[in-house]
Order: sequence, then structure tokens, then C-alpha cells
Amino acid sequence: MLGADPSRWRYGYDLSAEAGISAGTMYPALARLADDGLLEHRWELPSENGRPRHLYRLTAAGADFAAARVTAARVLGRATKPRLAPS
Amino acid sequence: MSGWRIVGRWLVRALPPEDRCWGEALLRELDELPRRQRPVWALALLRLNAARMPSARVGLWLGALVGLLVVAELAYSNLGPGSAHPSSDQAAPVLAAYALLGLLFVATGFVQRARGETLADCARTTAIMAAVIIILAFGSSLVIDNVWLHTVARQPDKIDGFAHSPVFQTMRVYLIWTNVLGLLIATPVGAIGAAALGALGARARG
Repeated sequence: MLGADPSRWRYGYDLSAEAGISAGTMYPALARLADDGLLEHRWELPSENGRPRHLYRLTAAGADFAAARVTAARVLGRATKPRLAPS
Repeated sequence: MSGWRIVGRWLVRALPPEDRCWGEALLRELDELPRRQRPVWALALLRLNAARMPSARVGLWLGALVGLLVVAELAYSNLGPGSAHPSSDQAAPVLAAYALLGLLFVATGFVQRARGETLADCARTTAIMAAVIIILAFGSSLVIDNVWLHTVARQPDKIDGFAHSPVFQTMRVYLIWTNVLGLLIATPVGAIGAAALGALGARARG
């Protein structure tokens, strides 16, 4: 999801809603990605009517990692499909 | 400041400094959310703490486990057969239970250190454990004493204690006061003592 447009900064709530995962699962995962240098985060500049929120996007290494994972998943999907198909 | 926000701020502060931005981020999102979605996101803060602070997680879980055993024992000794004459706090089985608890703190510190935790984290684990156990014990005691007042009020140690405390007008007020005071004193003292025992265990592991 973050890999779909690595340059775009995203909010935690949007990511949670879009991925359909709970915040309790997502935030520790985001923190681990940041630990591994795959995710960068920053505070939004405060606007007049609201307080700043935390924003996330993949680093270059994170984008490469996500792309590799997607490719691997596709290869795995192709490799397992014939076996799963009824004979 | 609302109750959940105070708890939230406390949970953020409990995170290691480098991880507090994640907790702050969750709190900011919480502010923007509709009221009905807030409990789920507040729970997320708890899960973040558990995930990012292993020593706290171990302390909470072990404390809850041992605390529930203590609660069960308290309920049995106060309400079960023979509850009219429960063991005195100086009785051998009670003292043995305290000694066992002390050994458990030392062992926890030892094992946590073996898992690669720092000395401070080992002490923090056992401090949290002790605090959880004490809060559960005094909390359940408060409930038992109030709900089953007529049973508890027949115990000789309670009668004696109440008789020697002329400040209190009723047995209920006396029991509430002793439990609340016990909780306020025993929690920090117990946590400090348990932290020392945890550190001792960790030190023994090297």
C-alpha cells in the first residue's frame, strides 16, 4: 500500500482504514519498518485549525524492498497456482 | 483533560524516548477520530507499548498472572470455609508466600537478563510485576470487604483492628481506609523492593 506511491506521505488513520488492519497491529509494524530504515516519518506542519499529525512514507530502500516482496509474491502465486488447480 | 487522555499521555511517557513519536502519533490520530472509534485506537496505544517495551510487557503479564492467583487466595481465605479465622499476616504460610514472591522477582530478573535485557529493564520488569500484583490484591480486597462486609467483619483481626482505631465510625469506613492506605503505601514500596530483587537476579546472571 505504501509501495503503491512511495513518494506520497500518508496518515496512520488512512493507512489503517485502507489496509483494513487495526491501529494496534499497524503502529508496531510501522515502528519496526522505521527501525530497519525502510520507512521515514515526520510531523506534518501545523495548520491553523488543527494539530500536526504524523506522516509516513517508504524510503528508497523501503520502496525497493516492497517491490521485491510484491514480485516474490507474484512469482509464488504463479508457482503455486497450477498445484492448487483441480486436476 | 479527560481520563483516557491522561492514561494515554502516561502510556506515551512509558515508551522508550526514541519510540515516543509513535505514541504521540497515535494520540494525535485519536483526537481527530469520531468518539466511537476512540476505544479501539486507545487499545492500540497499549499494544504499541507492549510491542516496543518488552520488559514492561513481561512485567504486566507475569504481574497479572501472579496477581490473579493472589486474588483467588484472598477470596478463598476471606469467603471460603474457615474464613472466620483467616491466617494472620505473620503466619508461616503467609510468610512463605512472601518469600516465594521474593524468589520469583529474583528469578524473573535472572531470566530477563539471560534474554539480553539491561539491568534497568530487569528491575523495571519486576517493579511493574509487583505494582500489578499489589494493585490487584488491594483492589480485590477492597471489593471483598465491601461486598461481603458481614462475613469479613466477623474476622478477629478486623474486629481487633477496628477496635484499636477510634478514628473510624464504622467498620466499612475502617476497611476502605486501610485498603486504600495500604494500596498507596504498598505499591511504591513494593515496586522499589521488587526492582531491587529483580536487579539482584539480573546481577547474579551477569
